[in-house]
Amino acid sequence: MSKKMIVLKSSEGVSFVVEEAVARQSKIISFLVEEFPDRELPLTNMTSEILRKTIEYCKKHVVEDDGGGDSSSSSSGDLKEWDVKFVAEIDQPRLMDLLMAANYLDIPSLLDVTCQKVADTIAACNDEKEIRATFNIENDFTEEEVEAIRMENQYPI
Amino acid sequence: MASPPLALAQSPPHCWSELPLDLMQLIFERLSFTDFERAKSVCSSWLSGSRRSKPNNKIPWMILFPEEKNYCLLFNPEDKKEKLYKTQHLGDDLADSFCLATCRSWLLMYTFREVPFYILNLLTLERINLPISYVSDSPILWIDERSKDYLVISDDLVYFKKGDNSWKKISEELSDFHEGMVFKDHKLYCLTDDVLGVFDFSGEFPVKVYRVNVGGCVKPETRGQINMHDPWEFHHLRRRNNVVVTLGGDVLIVRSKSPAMSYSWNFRIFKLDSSNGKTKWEEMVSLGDEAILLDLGITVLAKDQEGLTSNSIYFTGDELNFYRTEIFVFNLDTKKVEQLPPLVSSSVSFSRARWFLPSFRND
Repeated sequence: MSKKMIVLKSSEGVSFVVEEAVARQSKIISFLVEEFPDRELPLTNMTSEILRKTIEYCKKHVVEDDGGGDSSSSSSGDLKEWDVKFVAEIDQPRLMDLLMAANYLDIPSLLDVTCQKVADTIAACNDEKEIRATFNIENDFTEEEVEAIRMENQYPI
Repeated sequence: MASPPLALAQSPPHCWSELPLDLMQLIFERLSFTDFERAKSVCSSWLSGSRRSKPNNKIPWMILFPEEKNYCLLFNPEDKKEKLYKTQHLGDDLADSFCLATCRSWLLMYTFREVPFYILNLLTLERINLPISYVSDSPILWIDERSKDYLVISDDLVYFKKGDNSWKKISEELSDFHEGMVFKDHKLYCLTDDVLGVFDFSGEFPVKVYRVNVGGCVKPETRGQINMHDPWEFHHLRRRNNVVVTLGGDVLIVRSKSPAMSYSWNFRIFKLDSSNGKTKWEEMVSLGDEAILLDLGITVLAKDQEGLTSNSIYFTGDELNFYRTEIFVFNLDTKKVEQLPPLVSSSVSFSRARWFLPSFRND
């Protein structure tokens, strides 16, 4: 029996043919393929690059979930390792796109690993200046606000 | 007819400061206290994001009780600047109260006043007076954040629950002389000279889960005290035995010995191995990425945590100076003891210190 395929279209108009089971990792797509079967789904705010990454993630996870039904501990450990490697390879700007994609498409496990990567990156910084530099954020606080936060930090309880 | 496009009303943000608040909340909730404080000082939108969440703290803090003050000082080992945080005014009777036990941010306090025992939340200032007139020296406190059901376990093996009128005995089986107790996940681990008893408190009455012989792991406690009849004669060795339950649920016995009136200690750790239907105690040489907080009877993940050293034992000693509790760390790699942290013990006058695991959330 051949597997059911669906087409996802990126913002650049590139079509990706994906097994339905893979795409259904996204709760939104899962809902849409039931409502609109046999249609291609245009994802107008996702670049081909991010869509490709997202599909790569979903493919890996659908294989693991299918294999064996109750995925054994070693395979779930391997999957975790794979996730760590997957997010480690993503640079800062693309990490945000992927985080947003996980949120739009409602893929809880991808949202989890991307949020954790951001949290780990923040934790690796020594102070707020380093966080700003890492995430390319401008300090938009006035001097009074800085002082107010400083006071708050002094008596956090 | 085309399918409806899967698009949002607005285009995706291009800068991390424009991250939607709900996503920022998901990230902030994963940060430790110190990282949380840093991240909220990054920019105004991250500050607003931080207002919707609370840090996920897994690091123990130290609480110090300055003499004759109505506030406490808190020390967060993650904090590189080694500064002390001052709590709010914690009540007029704090200055003459002693802390007997902690449960997350709750303290079990004893005072000489009319209502001698109360529990107090350091962060929310909630206070519950206890209808009891006695508790042993090193009791256990447990409290549910939502229902405020509490449980106090006294080290002579009786317990008092919210709503009770009197203390009840845990078990007839154990002698009331014991070496140490730990309470984790509704289970009491109780060590006597020759057995370890485990009791489940999740139901209405405590139920025995198991009881194992501790073999040669425990040696009777001595305190290195001065003999009152002959002040020149010491117990030459201080010995202590503690139970510790690790993050992964392993049960350990930690035995320490130290020559009286000295700053040198030695520790040995034994792990309960109950595989193959048999129980035996195996000596452990390394704690890996974890560190033991001996007074809390737990381990924490110390790897990559600023201010905490993995494969080490954090403990307090009050034998050298009865009026002060000093905090030490024994490093299992180097077998050396350090006093901790230098700033806390040198510049602030406090009488007692203890570790606790502050929780900033309500769950």
